[in-house]
Amino acid sequence: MSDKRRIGVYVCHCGGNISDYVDVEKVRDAVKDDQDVVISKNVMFACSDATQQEMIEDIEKEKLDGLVVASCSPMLHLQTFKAVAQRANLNQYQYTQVNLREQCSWTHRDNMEKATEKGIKLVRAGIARTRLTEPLVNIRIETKPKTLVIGGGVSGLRAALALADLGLAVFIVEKEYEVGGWTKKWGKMFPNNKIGSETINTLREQIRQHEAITLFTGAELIKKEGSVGDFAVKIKLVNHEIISFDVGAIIVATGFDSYEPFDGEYGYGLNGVVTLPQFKEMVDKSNGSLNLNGSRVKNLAYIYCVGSRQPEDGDLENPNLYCSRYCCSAAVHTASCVADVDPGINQYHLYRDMRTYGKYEVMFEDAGNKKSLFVRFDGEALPEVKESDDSLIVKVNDMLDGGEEIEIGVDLVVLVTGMVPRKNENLTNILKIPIGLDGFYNEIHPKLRPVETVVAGIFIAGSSQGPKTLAESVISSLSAASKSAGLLMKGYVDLEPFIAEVNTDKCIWCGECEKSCPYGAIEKVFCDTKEVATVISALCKGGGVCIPDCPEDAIELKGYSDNQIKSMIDALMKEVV
Amino acid sequence: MTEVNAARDTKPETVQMTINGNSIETEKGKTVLEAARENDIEIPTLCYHPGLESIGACRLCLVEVAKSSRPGRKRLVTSCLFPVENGLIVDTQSNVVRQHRKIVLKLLIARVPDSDVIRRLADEYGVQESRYVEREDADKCIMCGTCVRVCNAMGANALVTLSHGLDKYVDVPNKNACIGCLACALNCPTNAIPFEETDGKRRIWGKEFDLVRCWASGEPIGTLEQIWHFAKRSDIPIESFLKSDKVREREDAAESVGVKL
Amino acid sequence: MAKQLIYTPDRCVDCKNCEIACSFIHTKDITKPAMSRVRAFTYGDIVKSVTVCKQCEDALCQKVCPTGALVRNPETGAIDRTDKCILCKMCTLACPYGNIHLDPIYDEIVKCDLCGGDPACAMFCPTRALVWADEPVPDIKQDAQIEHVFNEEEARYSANRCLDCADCSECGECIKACPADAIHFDMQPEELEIEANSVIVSTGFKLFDAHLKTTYGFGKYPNVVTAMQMDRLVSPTKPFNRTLRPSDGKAPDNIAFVLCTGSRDCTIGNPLCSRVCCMYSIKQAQLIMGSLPLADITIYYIDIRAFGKGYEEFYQQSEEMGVYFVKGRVAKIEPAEDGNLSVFYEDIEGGSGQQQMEHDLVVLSVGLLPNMDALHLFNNGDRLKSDAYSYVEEINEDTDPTRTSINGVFAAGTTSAARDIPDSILHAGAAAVQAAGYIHQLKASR
Repeated sequence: MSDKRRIGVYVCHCGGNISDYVDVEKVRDAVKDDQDVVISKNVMFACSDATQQEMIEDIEKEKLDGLVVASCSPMLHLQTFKAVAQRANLNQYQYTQVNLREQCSWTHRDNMEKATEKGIKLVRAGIARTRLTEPLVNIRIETKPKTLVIGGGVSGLRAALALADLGLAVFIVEKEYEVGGWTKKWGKMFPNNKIGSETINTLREQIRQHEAITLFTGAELIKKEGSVGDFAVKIKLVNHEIISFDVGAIIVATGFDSYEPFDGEYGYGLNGVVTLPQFKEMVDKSNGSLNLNGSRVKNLAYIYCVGSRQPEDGDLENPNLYCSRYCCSAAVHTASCVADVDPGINQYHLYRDMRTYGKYEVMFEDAGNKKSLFVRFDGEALPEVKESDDSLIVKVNDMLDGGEEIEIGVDLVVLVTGMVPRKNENLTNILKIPIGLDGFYNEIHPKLRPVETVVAGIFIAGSSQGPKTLAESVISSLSAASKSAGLLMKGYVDLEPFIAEVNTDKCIWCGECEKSCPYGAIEKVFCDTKEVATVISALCKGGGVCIPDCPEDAIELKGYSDNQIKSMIDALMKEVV
Repeated sequence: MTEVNAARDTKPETVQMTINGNSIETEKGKTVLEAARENDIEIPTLCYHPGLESIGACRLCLVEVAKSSRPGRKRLVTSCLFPVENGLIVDTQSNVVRQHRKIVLKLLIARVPDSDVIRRLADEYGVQESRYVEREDADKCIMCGTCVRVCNAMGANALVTLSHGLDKYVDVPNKNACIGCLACALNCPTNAIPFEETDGKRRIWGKEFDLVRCWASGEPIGTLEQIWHFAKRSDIPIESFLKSDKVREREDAAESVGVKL
Repeated sequence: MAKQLIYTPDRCVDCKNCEIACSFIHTKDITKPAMSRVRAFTYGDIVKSVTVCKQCEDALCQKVCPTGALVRNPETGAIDRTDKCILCKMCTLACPYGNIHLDPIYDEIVKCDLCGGDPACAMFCPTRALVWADEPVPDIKQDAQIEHVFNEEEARYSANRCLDCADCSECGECIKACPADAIHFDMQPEELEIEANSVIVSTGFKLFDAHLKTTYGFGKYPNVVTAMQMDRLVSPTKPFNRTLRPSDGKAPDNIAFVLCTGSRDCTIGNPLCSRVCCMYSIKQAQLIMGSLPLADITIYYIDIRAFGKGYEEFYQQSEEMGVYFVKGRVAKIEPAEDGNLSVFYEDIEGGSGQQQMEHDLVVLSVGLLPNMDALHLFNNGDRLKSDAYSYVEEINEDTDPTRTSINGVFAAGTTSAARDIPDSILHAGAAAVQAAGYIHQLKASR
């Protein structure tokens, strides 16, 4: 049993957010005489500079060795109060935050008596846990100043340059024999009409000049071990040679695939029905006129949202519910390019919503000025494409004209196809990064952490995270580079010390814990004369799955020991007088 | 309340003189050109502008003057610079003056053979052709210096004359100084300064400016640099410049009857 | 006392006599009212007004003229534009009332010169809105009955209710009330000088001022609000803890959103799409459905721009939850009874042409405009170049985003284009790595 502790308890008003619904003074009084409690106070705003200063003074004056703050959610101020403890020379893990706001006052606004009772119990549980805390130190991992970029498209190349500009070494692994992904195949790209292949050549040249960047083409990642700051990776080259090296961070920039319509989808398979990427190639190669099978194209129709915004309850097995974002802009830009090649072509755009957002709006205007005609159709009544003699007929209900059915005779139908996630099953299994409902890699939070994944040290960039335009892919890859560099340039990364620990006296090496750990963080070792389990601290995420599996109760989670949990339960069950 | 011009209180000295035989009364401090124009006597000019300092560059305004004390001693002077004085005798249409004007116009035709403005002016004074050698690859600039003076009056000081003698030309060496206000082009007597406005951009002196548009009416107000320049020189907040005068007029009228637009 | 042009705008009936007379006297060819120096207006079909140069004592036009071409005429008292004018047009920008113009045909600056002492406009004004006299002249309808609404006692009582709450009276109550001692009246602005190798400009955007879209009646009709105001009305800390409409505190049950207010609109000078309004309107619609479960919500749109991750799914979900989406740009909004509003739109999908729908609350989904203050930040030496839409320009947005026309200065977020939050965050990340890379290269080259 631990010695007597000296714990300070601060119960916050939160400016009324708590005190309007919980009698904070009663809570303070209820615990002030509890065992090991030296100070019990009310404060108006625990997070304010003045109160933080007060806490530091109290800790120093009263020689407190434990701190409990009953206030808002730890999501907001856990770090704040841990920092207060550190400034007062108290170990930051001797601090417990009790959530008296989101978990008490804000949920029980209608019954102050009961809410106060609950509040007292919660604070008591906090004090109980704190009695059994011990000083812990963050686990510091030295990071390797090198990054692995998977994917040599425009996103991967640009991220590599940004990292190299910061003095980090970069390895780019590209599956194909040439870098450049989709971009190198294309001519004029929107919105500034820069030539795609030239853009790639420029990036390639810049990479060539950077000594810090090593490019592997015709290569694939086959193994990844280790954790953030220190990954051991293996790649396989074309000639089956295997190369191993260490990196501190990994950026996944594997790009997208173009949706392939199924046979018969809007006439796909008929002569003259092409996808947008196929059409773009035609336009890029055209010289003075647009030709199909030797004859000049005079009329063409675009059908938008092919492979995107598919109905959830339709016939498709795995419909793509999402919008592919780039296609409206790409299609109207292509139409303008076509009009520049041959101003006489009639172009009809069958769309659902014209999503030429932001500055791309002017491209929509431009296409209209160059004689494109726009017809809107409803998601409920899709256009039909039929063959007729040696041309095609597109039938559609024009929603811009009260739903009137019209037939347009054309030589060419362009299906404006969306982006679909690349089939990267091998890679996904190796990296173990999650995939979202739409099939693209999932970020932790779209606003707060848009390039990070749940696997620390692995970042996602470009269209592998979701459909994007060229500029957006570059921006996202730079952001991923920013995060990687931020991680690596310090030279070390601090992991929280809430990891499992084995009591080698009790351990009988049954192997259950090793089996249960999803991160492979437990291994067998010899300790004195017996085989025991040991935890690899860099890999342990503090998941706790191993704890209940141990038949001997030999494994414990630091910061959340069985005794701590049990004492918290006892405190919660104790009657409030 | 009417404001009384302070200058009037201290009455300026009057000057008596003759122009082309007519007695003229004018004020001390004026030039012969001003005195003549006040009295509807015509003297042609190219580089003169009432709002700018005269420099006597074009030589077209030359007239013969003599003092009353020695009427025989006549000389040619630039009327835009020569100050009036009591007893001055001015002749704007003597043979010498006419002859001189013709020479100047012939020289001008040779310098800017493509300028309609000069051709018409020359025609007025009986000059249709010139035996002087035409300048090669001539633009329409007659080096009158109006654009430079206007630009200095604006406070931009972007235009300067460069080189010497026959090679002298006008240019904007420091493109950053030009604010794109077009004052130089609008005041050039021969329209020698090209500029264009297309696609929301203005191009002059090899510089491209973005035009700022009135947020309410969409019409272009001026270049961004022009607006900054004005804002800085007048202490008027830059937001006021984002509305055109027509919009401000409409708002002012609305405010005076309590309508909030 | 000398005569002056006295104008009483309330009397104006917008007969245009003054404009015709003025232009007849002044223009070189036949009457051209477009170049009249005096101008009459009608607002909202009801209110009339007239404006003309006030010949200000401390005239700004005179002050800014570089050649002193604007001169006070001692006889008429008017400020005349003389031939010293060099067409710099500073006066047209300086006049706060907009009464001085550039005639684009004759390329000359025009302003009222009081017609040399007998202004034609006053001569022809039938209602004495414009009068050339030495003191104000009484209204034509001299013997009109003035109806008193309040008696003196009632008037005083109502007047006494005024709290004059628009201004801080420095009573110090807030200082006493604040528990964190966060209010200090004597704080002064401090200027700090910081030397930096690299600058990131993230000065954000400005919201479109809905007053400028005059046909929507914002500012005139109390139940036309902007989305920003609506955000407050549905927030967890909303006033009265319920969503109520401004004019009478009634809970609205038929709400309209007007998308693209201030965007995709060349009449107010912004042809661009603001990117965020479709999504924030749908979000607000969902929040309203939470606080007012019985309310009908209609969103009038041109295109629904739900292009981001999860956005299309969110849009489909809101449609399933019962939000009506009507394709048709709203042309104008007129008042109806009881503070309600008639929204005039074109029913494109129904094919029935111009339609009118009554709503009890209208929300204008206002768009994003560039914050042009950013363009002044660098004034010595290189300037921050703006693009065609007055945003800070990214000189190579395709492969080198956030880089501006000044080396070492990077733009982040909505400084360079309208963006939503996820895109702004990504853009900020890009700016950070570009700035860091720039500094690293600087140090490496030393």
